[in-house]
Amino acid sequence: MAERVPKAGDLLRWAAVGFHTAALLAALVVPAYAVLDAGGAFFGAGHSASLTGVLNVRRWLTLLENTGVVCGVAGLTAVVAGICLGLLAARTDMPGRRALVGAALLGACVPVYVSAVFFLSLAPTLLGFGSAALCGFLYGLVYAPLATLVLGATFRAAGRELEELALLDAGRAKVLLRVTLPQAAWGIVAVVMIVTLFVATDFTIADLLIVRTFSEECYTQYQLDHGRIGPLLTSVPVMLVLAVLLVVVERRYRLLGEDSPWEAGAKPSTLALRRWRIPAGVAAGALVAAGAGTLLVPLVLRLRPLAGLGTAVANLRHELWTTTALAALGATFVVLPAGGLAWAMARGTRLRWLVAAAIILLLAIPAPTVGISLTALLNRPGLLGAAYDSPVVVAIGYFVRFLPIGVLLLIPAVRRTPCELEWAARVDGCDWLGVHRHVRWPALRRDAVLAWLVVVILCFGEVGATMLVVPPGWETTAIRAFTLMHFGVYRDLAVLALLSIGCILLPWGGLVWLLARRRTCES
Amino acid sequence: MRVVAAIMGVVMLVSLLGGCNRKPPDEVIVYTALDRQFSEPILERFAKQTGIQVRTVYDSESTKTIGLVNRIRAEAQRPRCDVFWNNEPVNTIRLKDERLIQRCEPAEAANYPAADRDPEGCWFGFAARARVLLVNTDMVKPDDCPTSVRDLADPRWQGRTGMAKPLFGSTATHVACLFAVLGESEARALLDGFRLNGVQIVGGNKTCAEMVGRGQLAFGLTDTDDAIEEVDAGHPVKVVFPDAGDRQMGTLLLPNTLALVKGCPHPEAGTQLINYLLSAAVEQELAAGPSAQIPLQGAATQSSRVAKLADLRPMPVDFAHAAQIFPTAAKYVEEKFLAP
Repeated sequence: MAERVPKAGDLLRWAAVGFHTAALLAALVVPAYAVLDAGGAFFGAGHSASLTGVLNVRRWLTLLENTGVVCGVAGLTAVVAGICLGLLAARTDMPGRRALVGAALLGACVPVYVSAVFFLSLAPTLLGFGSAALCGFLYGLVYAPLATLVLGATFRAAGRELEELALLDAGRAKVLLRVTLPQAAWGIVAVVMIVTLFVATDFTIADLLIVRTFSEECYTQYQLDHGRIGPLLTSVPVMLVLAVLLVVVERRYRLLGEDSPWEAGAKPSTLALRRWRIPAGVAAGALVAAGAGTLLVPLVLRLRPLAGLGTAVANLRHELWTTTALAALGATFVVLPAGGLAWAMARGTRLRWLVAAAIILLLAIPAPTVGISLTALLNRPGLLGAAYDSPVVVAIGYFVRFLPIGVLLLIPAVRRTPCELEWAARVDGCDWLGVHRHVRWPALRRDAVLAWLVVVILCFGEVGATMLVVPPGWETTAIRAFTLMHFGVYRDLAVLALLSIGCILLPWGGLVWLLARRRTCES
Repeated sequence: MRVVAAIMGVVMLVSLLGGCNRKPPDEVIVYTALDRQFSEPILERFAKQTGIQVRTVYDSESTKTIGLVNRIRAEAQRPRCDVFWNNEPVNTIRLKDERLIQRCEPAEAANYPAADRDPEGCWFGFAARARVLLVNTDMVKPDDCPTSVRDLADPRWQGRTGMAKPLFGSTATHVACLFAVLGESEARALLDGFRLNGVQIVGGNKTCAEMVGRGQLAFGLTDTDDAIEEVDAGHPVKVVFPDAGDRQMGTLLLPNTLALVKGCPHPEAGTQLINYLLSAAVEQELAAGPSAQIPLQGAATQSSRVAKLADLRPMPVDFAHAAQIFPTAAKYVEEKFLAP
């Protein structure tokens, strides 16, 4: 164990506490500012005349209905696809299960704007303007791969004993319906929550189809000369609804606590497909190949004529570099404090409730609200203004949006670490620094890399906040694609979408390697 | 694990080094509402010729023009934009009325008619587009061809016509100009007619033109730059300059406008860019290019492929009045076209 260094250790301890608190407060300033500013406007007499349109209850009900339909259809689509594919990948002896999981992981990594370009190139004439159900269905397809992964993990964590007992009295199908699926209810709820949060705070596809969700309305109101108060007030109901949903789901299913169901127990039994084994494998492979082909081929066809393709690629070099750099920077901003905050959250320190409140608020805040608040907070003389003028403002936006994701991704790693390890280290004479060096960091580092890669991927596709704060000359690929896709899918956009997938392959490869390594270590 | 961390570090470092440029000694920041494909080559040429680096914020079609205007408003306390290259005049005039743009004296401005520039030297118009009806010739017989924007309210075409979201871009400007020319009550009645006749509201003018080209709409209200691309693509379409008859209100012509933002960080480079953009060469380039814009100054010898200025019957609209009435028009549109 490390030598005791009391003074340096104490200093570092306070520095670390200060750093984590500052990071948390910095992220919290944005939703807090949004809520306070909107609240001030609500009670302030000066704004009341201009806010009558914004405070229209019918309008809020319409937005709530549209957002509900979009999130509901998206959740339903993702859950249905996730249950089918997740069951096949996690609980059957179907050949090619690993390939299916790899494909789902790749699908989950594809940014929303790239998926939107796929849909546009596939069926530009089918897209119906104003259809909330279609918008939800498209979002559902975007998040179906993620649902497959989450529900696959859920099915793997299902209790083996209960199923085996049930199999004594009933057939496979009945056990699946009556035992396995109810056991996976928390996973289904988790998928619905994840999809709801991502969809309700994003407007990429909603704006394309002119569907008035809260997030789209917040963006539109800001662009419509309503200052920042109107859009901020617009976003308050959805923030409240999402925050209440998060609290209810967490209280009901305890997804984050010590008794969280995420950890797999004994390996669950495998459903033997028998004579359907090969056909099921072929069908799943064909489904994935057909899906990928149907989406990719129209896009590849739009690359013609091939002359000048090199120039088109070269023209996008700056955006690709900018996006990669800013995504890496944003993910680093997120992961640096996320480990400590995850520890505070999972181990019940005094910061726990502050961290929990911050996570809920940050998850619930629509992306345009982050952009609007950042503009109001940072566009001032001095150091803040320097940050606003530089591309760092985009990374700050990523930090605010994805800090909760980073923390949530690291909580399982904290929970996997037995408290006894820390006690043993202290008994052996380790001070605060020693415990961190010998227990906490080794416990978190692998998951920290994983969380970093996931957040890089999320940053890569961020549109809502970036759109409002991106400084001149620092356009990201997501913003370039978002502005281009309203003109239809032409060669530039096809090149951009395909290059974006190329860029995603690197973090995807990292994730595959890390997950495969973890699986090997666990077995 | 260390290898992964090392790769992570190298990727980040290389990305940062590759992505970040040092701040150049001389630069100009442009917010442009003109479509990127048309404005980018011109701005790049300016950068090449002068050595001044141009940093640009391009517009999004879904919140065209208004998004950039509000961004300039949001940054008013600490402006970041030097030159606002708008693709219409009304919102530039609104910025002038709010004292968010400043006077400048580009020499090239003298070559333009007085009507196309601000008498106080705050904004300068050049290279116009027209608001036109793009008609699908497979779906509309020559005898039935629409000749006026009022045909959008004709029950014969119920549910088969389209226009862009009238909250943003040139469509919002068109609505404001209708309010200015027809008067508020007549303009409201006309737009109510559009709405009741099932005019489809689509994502942008480009989308509207594409839908006409594909046969999803019989005709639609759009801009000449979007319409001409459908013509060039060989789709069965025809461009109609609406309301060109003697007793009609005329076709709305919207010049691009240039303005120097008040308190901008690079006023000299900004004025230099405005002067460059007002040159006859740029107007000719915009006329000859894919956007086929209509030159306004006599020195530009190139005529647009869509029309000659002399052949058009422009709508006699007072843009300053349209700018004043814009909030009223926008409020009406928001209530009627965005209402729950």
